[in-house]
Amino acid sequence: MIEKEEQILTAPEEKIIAVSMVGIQKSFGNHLALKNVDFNVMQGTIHALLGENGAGKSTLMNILYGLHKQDTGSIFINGEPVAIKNPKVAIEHRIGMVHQHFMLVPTFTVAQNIMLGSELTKWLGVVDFKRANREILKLSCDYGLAIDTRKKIEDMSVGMQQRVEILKALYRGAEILILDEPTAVLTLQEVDELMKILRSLADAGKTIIVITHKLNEIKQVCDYCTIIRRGENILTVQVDAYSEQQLASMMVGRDIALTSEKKPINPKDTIFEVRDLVVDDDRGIRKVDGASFEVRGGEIFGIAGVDGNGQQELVEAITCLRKSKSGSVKMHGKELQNTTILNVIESGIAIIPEDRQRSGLVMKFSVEENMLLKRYKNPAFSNKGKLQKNKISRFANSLIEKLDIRPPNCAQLPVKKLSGGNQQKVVIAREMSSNPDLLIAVQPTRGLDVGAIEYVHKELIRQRDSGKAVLLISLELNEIMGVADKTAVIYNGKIAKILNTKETNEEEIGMLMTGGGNFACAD
Amino acid sequence: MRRLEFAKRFMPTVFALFSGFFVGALFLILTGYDPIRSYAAMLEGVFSRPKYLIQVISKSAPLALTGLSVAFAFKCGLFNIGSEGQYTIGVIVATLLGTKLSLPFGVHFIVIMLAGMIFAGIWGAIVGFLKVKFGINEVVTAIMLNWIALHLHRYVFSFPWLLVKNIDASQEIKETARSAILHGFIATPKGQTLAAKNAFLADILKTDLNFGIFLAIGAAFAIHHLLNSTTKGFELRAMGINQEASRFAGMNIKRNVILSMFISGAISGLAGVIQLTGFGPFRMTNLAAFEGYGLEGIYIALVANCSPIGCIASGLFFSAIKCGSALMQIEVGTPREIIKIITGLIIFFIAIPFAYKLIASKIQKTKKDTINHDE
Repeated sequence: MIEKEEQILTAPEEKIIAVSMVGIQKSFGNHLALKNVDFNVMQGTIHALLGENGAGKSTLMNILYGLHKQDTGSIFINGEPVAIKNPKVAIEHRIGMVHQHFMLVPTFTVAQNIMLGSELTKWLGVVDFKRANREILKLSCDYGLAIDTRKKIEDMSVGMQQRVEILKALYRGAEILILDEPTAVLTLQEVDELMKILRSLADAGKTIIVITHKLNEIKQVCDYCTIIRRGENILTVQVDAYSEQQLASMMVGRDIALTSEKKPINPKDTIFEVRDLVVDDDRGIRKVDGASFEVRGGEIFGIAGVDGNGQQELVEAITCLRKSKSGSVKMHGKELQNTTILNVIESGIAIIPEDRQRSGLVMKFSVEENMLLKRYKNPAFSNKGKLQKNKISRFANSLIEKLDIRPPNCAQLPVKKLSGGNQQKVVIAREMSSNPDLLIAVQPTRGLDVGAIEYVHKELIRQRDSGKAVLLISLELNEIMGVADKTAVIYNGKIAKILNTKETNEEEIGMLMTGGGNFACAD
Repeated sequence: MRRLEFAKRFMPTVFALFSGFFVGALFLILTGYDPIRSYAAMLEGVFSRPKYLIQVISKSAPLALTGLSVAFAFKCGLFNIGSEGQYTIGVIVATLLGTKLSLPFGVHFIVIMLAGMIFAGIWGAIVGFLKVKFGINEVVTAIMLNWIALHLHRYVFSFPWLLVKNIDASQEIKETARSAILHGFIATPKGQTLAAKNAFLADILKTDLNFGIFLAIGAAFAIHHLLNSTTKGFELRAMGINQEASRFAGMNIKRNVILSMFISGAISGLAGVIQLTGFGPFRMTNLAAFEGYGLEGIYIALVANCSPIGCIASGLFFSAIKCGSALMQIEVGTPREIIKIITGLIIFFIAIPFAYKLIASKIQKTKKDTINHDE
């Protein structure tokens, strides 16, 4: 507590405190989401709000934007006490928010979207598009947010859409801009551009609050960082003074390894084999073009590559969700190609799918039912076609306890009420509970915070250490480098090269990922 | 706490029902009818005599069943708008087997029921098959099959060996084929003496009381059990919410789509069988248009929020306003078409639970504010 005060009081320049939230408390039902949180932001700075999924950072910002109402506590904007009843009041106090999921009308142009709800009108209420266009263009020039105002949203990239959201907030006169996980949907290049934009906005005197759990971005662009853990304000710090490692540890409340520790590799026999696999997509375009690799027990086999180089089709073909043209996919020497996914599962393969909400979970089902999803026919849980509810409950509760899925006692809760990390834990719990010989993990840490990422990686390594095989397909090079024993690089549907991860480096893999290097298969 | 959740689940429906009647009353006032007298007569038409009440309950069976059929398909992620056609198939099968087959009492009805369900089930399964085989939307094929069923009905109706000349209806199905319990009893000497002795009984003896309602309740509980307690039901519910994840979990989606359409069709077929075997005149009549039971099933399922057990209650409710409106028209002169307006309004209000939530939050707010004031 003392430390926290100190940090704020010793803030360097004599800047105005733009936002001050004091003693904010908020509960949802029995769950206390925020406990007596203080939060201060200096004007003209970029302030990160760091915390694990479900720590309460979004709730805090939703209160500031008037989407939720705090139970107790008060809010001051530029020193004035304010009661923010709804977003309209927030906008009047010059607060703008860019949500993770954009609120844009796809068939409208940029200008139409920006002025929607605060249209400029000429006489008789005729909308003045010309003036609006002019004003928006001026705004975009002022802050270096180059954009074509006449373009339709549906024709724009995600990064550009986000830009429209930012402009929308600025157009409504926002001085305080809240961004909820702004980089979650962006490509690397778009992230860089966003960072530049944020910096220029801050330089122009705007106050920016970024909700995030990505440490490198905080280090890159933020001035201050407030860490929230389980609904409590832990600390507000100057970003410069701390390393990523320290920030991560403060965020989860324990020491955390950003790089995974592994025992030395102990490879066993080949259990899974893909030979000359050829797969076309729905439009008949060749996506996987003669890919071959094999995975041994006791190793993590990583496939790195830029998105869209055939990873998706490769996984779909392996899991028999898509027909392959030719080649073979063998598990324990048994041909799986173009059979059924049930056959794949029964041969001892478990899959952590890329899109857990679409393919991995039935969001409206309870946690318990989701854990049952692949094993409901198991004699342990069904007797002559009748579900054994008691046994299922016991099974689910043991998994919840074992994997520390939160909130505790969530067996009957719809899985959509869980945070992303905990949802992924439900998938992992289910997939690992069948004790698979091969675990295929596709982007298993997408959208997760550091704590959850560490957990997922530990699970993958545990699977490997128990002599089973892991096939890890990821777009994150860090992940492949950190976890995989062998790395195959996929480029244009071909396996460009297979390398021992230890003997290579990011540069070499990066080269191969973009089509550089020679096309030769290592053994 | 439990009671609160219970209330939360049912409040939107209750709200919609009341709003439907309330706005319906406004329409009545606008057109110059007295809403209070009209609604009172409607209530009278349901509760004032045991005959009415039994009639309401009996007539709810086909409605509850088509509702159940649609609700079940919904739970499996399918929109069975073909309930009407499947119902018609049930009617056709019941007529043919009821008039031409000779079997002892009881057995005869069971044979008709099973045959009607199987054929109507196949009628539904065709929709499912076309969906999984060629990817044709079930709504399109189901509507087309409705018309095919209607014309098949007309074709069967043209068979000279089935028709009775002069009355424009088919032959009566045999006594053994009927699911009606009391029909004909009042005409027997025993029934006559009983009726003469007791006016109350005489009243009841005139009703169309039949097995239908018991079969409907049985079917609702069976479907409830299937969905919630069996592995197959688990598969179907998973498929209903997220087909992609179900496929990923190794479930056979194609087979399940066909199966659920079969079950849904069979339930609609049962409704048709009950309608023909349970109610006078026990004949197939010439159909100018759809009878509408299948289409009514859609809003019955909607009001029941697709709960199998809820379909029974929902079926009873719509049967009640249908039956009650008859007396309303006779006594007050209010046209019974008003119930169509009320039904439409109820559907409208159910479709906007949003409005209910808004009102609820406002009420809560004012409550809170007053509490704060007290402090």
